[in-house]
Amino acid sequence: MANPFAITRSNEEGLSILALDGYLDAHTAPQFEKAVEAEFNAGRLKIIVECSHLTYISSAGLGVFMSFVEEIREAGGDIKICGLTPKVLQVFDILGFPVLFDIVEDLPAAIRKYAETPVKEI
Amino acid sequence: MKRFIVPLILCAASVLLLIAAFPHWHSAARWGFVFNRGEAIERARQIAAQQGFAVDGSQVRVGSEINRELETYRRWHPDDARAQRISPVIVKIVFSSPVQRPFEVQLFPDGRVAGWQLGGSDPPPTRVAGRPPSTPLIHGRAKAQEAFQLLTAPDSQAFRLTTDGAASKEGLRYSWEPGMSEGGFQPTIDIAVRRGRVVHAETHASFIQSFDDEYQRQGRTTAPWKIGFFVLIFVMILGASVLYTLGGLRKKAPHRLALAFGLVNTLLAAAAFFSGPKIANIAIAELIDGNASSGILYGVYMSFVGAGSMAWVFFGGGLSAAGATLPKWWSLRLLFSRRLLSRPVGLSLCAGLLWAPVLMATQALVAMAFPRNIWSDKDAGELLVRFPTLPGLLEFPLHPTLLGFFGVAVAFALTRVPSLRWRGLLLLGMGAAFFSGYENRWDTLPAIALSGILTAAALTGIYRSFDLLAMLVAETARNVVITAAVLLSQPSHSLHALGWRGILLLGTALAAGWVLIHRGADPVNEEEAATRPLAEGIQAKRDELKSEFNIAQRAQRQMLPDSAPPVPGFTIAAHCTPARDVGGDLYDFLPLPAGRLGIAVADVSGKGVPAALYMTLTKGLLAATSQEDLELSTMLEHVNAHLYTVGRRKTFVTMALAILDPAAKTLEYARAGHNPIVWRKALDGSTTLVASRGMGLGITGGKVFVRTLTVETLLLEPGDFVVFYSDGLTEAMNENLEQFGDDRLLESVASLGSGLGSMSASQARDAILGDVTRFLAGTHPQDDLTLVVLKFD
Repeated sequence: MANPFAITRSNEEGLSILALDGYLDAHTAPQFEKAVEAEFNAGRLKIIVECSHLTYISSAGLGVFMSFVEEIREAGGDIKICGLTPKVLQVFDILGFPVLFDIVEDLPAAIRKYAETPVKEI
Repeated sequence: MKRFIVPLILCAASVLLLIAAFPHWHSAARWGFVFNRGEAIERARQIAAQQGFAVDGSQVRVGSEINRELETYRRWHPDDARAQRISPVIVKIVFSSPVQRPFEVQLFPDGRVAGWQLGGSDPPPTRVAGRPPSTPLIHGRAKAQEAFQLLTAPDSQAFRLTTDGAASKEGLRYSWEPGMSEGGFQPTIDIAVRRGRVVHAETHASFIQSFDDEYQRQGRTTAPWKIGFFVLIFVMILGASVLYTLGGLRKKAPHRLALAFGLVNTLLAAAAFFSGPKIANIAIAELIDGNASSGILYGVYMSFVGAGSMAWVFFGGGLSAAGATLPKWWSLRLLFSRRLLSRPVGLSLCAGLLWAPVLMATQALVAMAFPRNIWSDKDAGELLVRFPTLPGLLEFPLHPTLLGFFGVAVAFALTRVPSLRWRGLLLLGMGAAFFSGYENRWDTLPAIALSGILTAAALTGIYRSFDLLAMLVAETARNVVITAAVLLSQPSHSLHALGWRGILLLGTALAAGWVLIHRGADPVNEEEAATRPLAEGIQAKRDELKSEFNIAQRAQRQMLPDSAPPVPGFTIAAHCTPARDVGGDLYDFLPLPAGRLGIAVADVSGKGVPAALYMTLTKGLLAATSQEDLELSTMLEHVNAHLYTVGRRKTFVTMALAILDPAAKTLEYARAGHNPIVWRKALDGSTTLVASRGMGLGITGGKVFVRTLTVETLLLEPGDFVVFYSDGLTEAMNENLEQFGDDRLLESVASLGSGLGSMSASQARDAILGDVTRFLAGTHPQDDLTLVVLKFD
């Protein structure tokens, strides 16, 4: 059975918001990868990944985040992550992602974060 | 179907506007054709027979010519009755055969004869020697008079004879003129008689010098625009070629798609050529000069080579620039991947058809705003082809304007220009330039610019809210609508029938699109579309792969050690279940100097073969680093550096690495993004997760990795258990979609007991796995499941 997964993209204050919903695993990661790639190719480099409806993330899903972030940062953009549920946050945390990414509470916080530090220093 | 509400309303409004306004706006509506192609040929045969020219068995071509100067004069002098009696449109019917000289008849749209002409040249005068001298002068005048009456009735008395039997190359020439009208116009009848037949009769329009000068001046004002346009087109073709070549060098050029698009254009162009529209007019001009083959060759060249290669280069270049990934070109790709009957194609078809009248109404509004400055927008030739809608269908794919704008400019702007403002400016500028060129019959600057911007904006809007296919359909259907409207506004009933045929064609297409929206397949993604036709053929290949998989699986299992090397005072037990045929989990034991032992449990991101390959690589890297006497952190740093370089940030590895020193009774431990180990302390009976800081391997370069990595040293006591595992264990999911989780694991480890009388390492391993199996209750684990238990005996 394929687990349900959906991406909704929207714009706010020049930021590209990708809202993830459902299961991000090896089956659905290519869909997410295409979505991030489309933003990158279209030159929309300030990306916020909104995860409040993300119920599960596997290593393949995490791989998508890291595979783009350096290229995007070199081009002057960033990926900021917000709205993680405690369970998903734990997965990010175990892997050490908070060092690599700005992970914040919710969407307004992510937008503020862009105003403070457009590109995360690591 | 919310997306269709706006197009539907606009479409209905536009149709109403066009019904009311079209005949007043469009000059072609006022041409007043009383015949269709077949009737024109019939009339021409009668004239040929009357004038004594044999045309039976000849090939027939029908074309038309518009006298733009006369059209302009009529617009500027609507009161000049004499000029209004002569139509600027002339229909030409040409009879040609290999054995006879070509013969051309010219008709006005209202059915009157405008003239005729015997083309080619006389056969060599081989047998003329014994014949009597040419026909007497007086007989020639009678013949010419007869033809003059035919051409000018019922206004013949207004003309007077000005040239009476002057000798010329064609024969004896006669001319009649009525004198200049008030506005400065006069028609001239020129007739030539040779060997008792009228070989040339023509109605010729001449104007007063001041009008000629003014007309020329007007013509010149549009010239710089046209030159600019052609320069732009040339630059675009050059640019597209370069992009396409670069794409080819990078092996990213979508050759098949571009070629397919070129081929479709070629076929359309060929069909239009053989139905005899504008391009055939060039052939007619050549035919009259008696050089049929070169005319046809030129037409064939224009249709086949010109149209096809231009489309090919433009779209090939655009697709290359976009990396062939523009989602808006998606339904066009479906057309070429044998998924014609799918829902997205239906959506684009319907949207394009509904927008077509809106595009036309937009132009009507501009035309009505600048009534004095518009040229007629459609040649009469298209009324007289066998299939009048075909040239309308043809117009778009042939036109470099739209090919250039949407094939190259849009693709380039969307994929290569990141700034929104610059992208908007680029598209607006290019759009205005291209569409001004496209509408180059609009006479003055405001009309040109306004029409260009509105058309570009409308088409870009369709492109944005639907896709490229919808836009192609809209533009093509617009041309069909114009042709149909022109046909329906003529007096001839037989032309009405053809006009309704065009409307019927659009209606059928709309219905077909509607059916596709509701019944068409909904392709999930392109990979699926591409692989489905191959499905049957790959069964054998699949079996072959399956057996290779089995070999790989065995090889991978053999890479995992059966048992740990003996360490005095300690026992170690391990287990691994791959979820798929080959997996990405790894455990290994690394003998180190001074009797120490490295214990590693790792998990590669992703699944299947790629993960297995990285697992093998990680094992090799670990083995290599254990050869030297390195610190734990340095070992991980080396592995990280290699994986970071090789994995290119697409794949990462998490690892728990520990070094057991039996002499010191310590366990040095670092966690590279992996699940924390569980430590069951015999001393106080506590069971805890040891989660020191550390990032996964291959995620980030050396500096950040080293900065975040911490190494902890656990002081072990007899009876202690340390449990290493992969996330396949804690994330194992039962039927109710519950995960085994950290808490159950901690419980399970706690229940192992402690002290010297407790379980051995292998018993402990089996007990934990037993808990997991009971929890899963028959569900197969979805991920690799790895477990290593260390016991201090």
